[in-house]
Amino acid sequence: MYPYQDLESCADGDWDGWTLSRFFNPELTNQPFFEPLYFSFDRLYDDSWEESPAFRRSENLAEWTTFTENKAKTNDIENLVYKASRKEIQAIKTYLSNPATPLSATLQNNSMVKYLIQKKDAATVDYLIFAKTCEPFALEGDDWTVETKQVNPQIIKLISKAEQTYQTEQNPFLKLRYAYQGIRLAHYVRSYAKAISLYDKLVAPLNTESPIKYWALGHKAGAIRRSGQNNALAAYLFSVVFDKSESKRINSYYSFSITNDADWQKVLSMCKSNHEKATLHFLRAIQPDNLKLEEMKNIYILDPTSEYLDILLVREINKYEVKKSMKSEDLNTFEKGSAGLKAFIFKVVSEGKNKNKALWTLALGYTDYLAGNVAEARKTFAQLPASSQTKEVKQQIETFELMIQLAELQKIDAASEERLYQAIKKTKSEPLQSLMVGAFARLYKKQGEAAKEFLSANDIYSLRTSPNAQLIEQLIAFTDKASKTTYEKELLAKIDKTTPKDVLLEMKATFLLRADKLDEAEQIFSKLTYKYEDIEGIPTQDQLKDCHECVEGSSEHFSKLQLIQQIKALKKQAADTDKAKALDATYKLGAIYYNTTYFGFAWRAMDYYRPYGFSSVSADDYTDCSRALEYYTKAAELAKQAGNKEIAAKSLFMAAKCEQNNYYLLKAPKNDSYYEGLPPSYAPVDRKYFTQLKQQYATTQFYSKARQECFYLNQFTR
Amino acid sequence: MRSRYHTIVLVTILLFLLQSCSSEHKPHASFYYWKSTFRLSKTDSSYLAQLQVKQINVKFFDVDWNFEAGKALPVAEIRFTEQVPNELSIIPTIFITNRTMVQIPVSQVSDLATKITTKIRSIADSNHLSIKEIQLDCDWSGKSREKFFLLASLVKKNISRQSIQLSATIRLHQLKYIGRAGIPPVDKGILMFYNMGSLDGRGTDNSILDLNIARQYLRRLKDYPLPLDIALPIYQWVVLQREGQVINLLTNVSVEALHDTLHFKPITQKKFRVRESHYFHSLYLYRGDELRLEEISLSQLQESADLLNPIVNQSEPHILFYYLDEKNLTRYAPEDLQKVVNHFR
Repeated sequence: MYPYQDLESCADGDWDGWTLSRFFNPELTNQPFFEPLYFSFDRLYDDSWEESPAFRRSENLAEWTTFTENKAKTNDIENLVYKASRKEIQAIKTYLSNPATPLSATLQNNSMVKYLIQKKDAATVDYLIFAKTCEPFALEGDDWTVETKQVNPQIIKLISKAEQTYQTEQNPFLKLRYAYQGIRLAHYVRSYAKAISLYDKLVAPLNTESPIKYWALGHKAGAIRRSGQNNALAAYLFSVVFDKSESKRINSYYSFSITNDADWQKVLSMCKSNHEKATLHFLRAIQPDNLKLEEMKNIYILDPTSEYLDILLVREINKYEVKKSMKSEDLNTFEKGSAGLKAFIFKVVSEGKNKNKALWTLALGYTDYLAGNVAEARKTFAQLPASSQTKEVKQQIETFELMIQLAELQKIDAASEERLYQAIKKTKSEPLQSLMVGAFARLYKKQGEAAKEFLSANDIYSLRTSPNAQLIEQLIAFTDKASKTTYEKELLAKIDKTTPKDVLLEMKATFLLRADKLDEAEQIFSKLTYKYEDIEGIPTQDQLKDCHECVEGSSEHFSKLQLIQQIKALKKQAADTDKAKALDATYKLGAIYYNTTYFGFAWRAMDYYRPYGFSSVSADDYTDCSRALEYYTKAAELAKQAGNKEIAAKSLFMAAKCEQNNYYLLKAPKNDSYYEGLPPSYAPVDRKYFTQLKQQYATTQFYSKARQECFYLNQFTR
Repeated sequence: MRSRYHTIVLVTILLFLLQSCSSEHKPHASFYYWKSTFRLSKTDSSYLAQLQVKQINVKFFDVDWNFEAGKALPVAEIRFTEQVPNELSIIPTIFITNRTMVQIPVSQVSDLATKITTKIRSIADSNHLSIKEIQLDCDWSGKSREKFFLLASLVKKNISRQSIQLSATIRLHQLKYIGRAGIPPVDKGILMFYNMGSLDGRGTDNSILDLNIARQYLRRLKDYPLPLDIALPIYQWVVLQREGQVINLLTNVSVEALHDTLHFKPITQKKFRVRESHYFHSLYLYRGDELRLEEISLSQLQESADLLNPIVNQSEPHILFYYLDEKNLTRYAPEDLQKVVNHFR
């Protein structure tokens, strides 16, 4: 019930396709540890930053690798430090004091274990045991339990032990880690004053730049903030952790919080360098929806060489790309704003203070491209000397060059299509391929190549659900084209990899069948090698109640060709002088024409897709009951003439179903497109056949049964 | 003879009146309490007394998805700093973010239901509260519907043994698109009669309450298969727009704060532009940002009541004002709020 929850609930959607619009490679910043901060669609809506456990552990693992003089493999270190149980590490300790004790093969083969054994390093093993003992308690508390005032005495003992062992331990590597364990526990059990004093007493004097120092600092910052003492100090410390510890970057971003101008000034005054101040601006800049350009300008004034500028630059450009490809509603506003971004990029390039000249030059050219000035873009890219071009820069230039070529293309022929297709395919760039498809499609449209235009954005499924006779003919002609480019073959494979022409012919014949052009349809079906799946059920089967899945698994089935032949035979029989035969055939034709509509179980005879809900029915779906109505009313008349009241009644009932379907299709008020919301009509004008049924056949058994089974008839005839 | 005739007439009239009376609604005033510390000010208590409020919905905590932990966690738990008056009944209300229900695996839903009910009981027991109803507040979507309904059914199962009812908030779009939205498996609902328009101000002067928009949603109210109470807005907020996009909503912003000409330039009576970048109500505003004030007048509340009254689907609806806070209350006299409630008779 938060008033602003509707903002959040609108962010329900996910759209993976946005990466297809990202051409500007964030890796040009050469800062892989900022990867979580690369622009992403999710971040536009302040959703998750996902960070793998491996990312979080990387700094610590690097330190342990150095500690073991690079003799232990990273995997082995990770297994021991993060995954091994306390029991397993205890076993190493036991082995150290008594090598006759058995040690598991897993441990024996672990290169870090081998190192510790070789060094007889009991102190490190002791530390690892201690860390494993602390682990179960090193959680931020189960938030589901109501807070208790009592702290677990075991935790108090562990904090105390951490402090004592720190004092006796000689190795600074281990001292720092004991201190970290104590501080973390104190923080999580809400002993904030203790966590703060432990940091000041134990970590600060160590004079180290180890990432573990900053992990501990993060806990101090958290303790300060939660104790409500000094929010500005907490924010400052989080900004230091953000800057110094790659693996705690995300945590400290979330924790960094400044809410008023006074605190902002206080934090700025705590900064020891322009770089620290720049970090504050960066942290503010990456808040969702904050204005990067203003912050970039602030950072540039403080430190024009700052790598933060590179990250923000690429984020802004990636955002521009997404908005442009989504044709985002605020694109115009964004483009107006991007003029300022371009001016800033130009300033940075011309003043030459930034270290990553290639990145900024590429960005300058690219903003021209995004604004539609491709010639300017090319000129700018040409300014980059070949000597400055790393592999990533070369790839980026190549990508931009191909994008420019696509943008400049005014017409397309087989040669240019083949050349560009091969060049773009070689890059293996999905965004570029997607761009190519779109650029080619626009030209196909301009050049009247309807088949290729259609296949650029569609496949066989789209064609089946939206029948278009003219397009099908154009596609068939396209399959007959003598010499095809590689791309054309790829397009046709979207119809079918081996027999696209036959698939199209099958479709053509189906839609001819739908139009009741039986001879033409029969001619095509009889020559096809490609066979579409048979339809289950018996086409003439009566269905008083509509059902669509009731024939699933039936042993009876028929092909479309067989259906045509049956219809033709029945039509012949319907003209027979033998009235009984004529009636039988007429009724069966009514049944066939009903059953093969959207409303019947044999809809697959005339269509390829059936919308699940009536509210989704469109003009493309085969809902025409007019032929069924024609035959049912004829059957009613023939039955009446023959004195067969039961069949006459049944025929009128089926005619009434056709009438009702038409009512819903044409006359029922459109009510939010929900079928359940469409009220039935009992007006006589909409129930002509119910009226006749009641007036003429109320004494029949069929009428009596139908009234029991059909709610509408029952209501109408009350 | 004549006196017998008069008796018959009188009795008939009396019966008619009784009949008419029994078909009227008997609305009860109530409030939502949405702060994280429970403390009733004198103003709060005065309004509760004057409006004869017997129960209020108090948000006990939120449930949000913690991406780092990979699970649903409670946040913003309420703290009771004073005893709840004996005459006031509390309905614990739990706000669950939609993203929680989108993200949570089906296998964790049962555990979440247990955790929610256990935590509610813990808080209630610690504060000596007797609970007769629990409310779940979640703007479920197509993606989260099945899991939220599962959660609701499991919570209901957990509490039914103590004869506690379960209710859920129903938003206007869930009323209109009932087929798509479904009906939650709860005992009753409360219709949130606010947040109707587009936050960017397109097509409406007031995104909180716009009766032209509301009318399009109400056709199904009378037939809704759950008995529905009504929640009406008495809050105001400021919509922050930046470069044409709605960025955030600021609550508890006084109109006076927006008249600070050093920082804001008025564009209209309710729209302001930021002159210089600065922090404001914990947000950083950039030069050029626009702020738009939206508030609800008494007449709008009365019109809402008139619109809803004929189609309210139960005889004794609770009319809850969202939300109980002095800043909200002092914009309306208690007797005016009573009149709004009386419009539901």
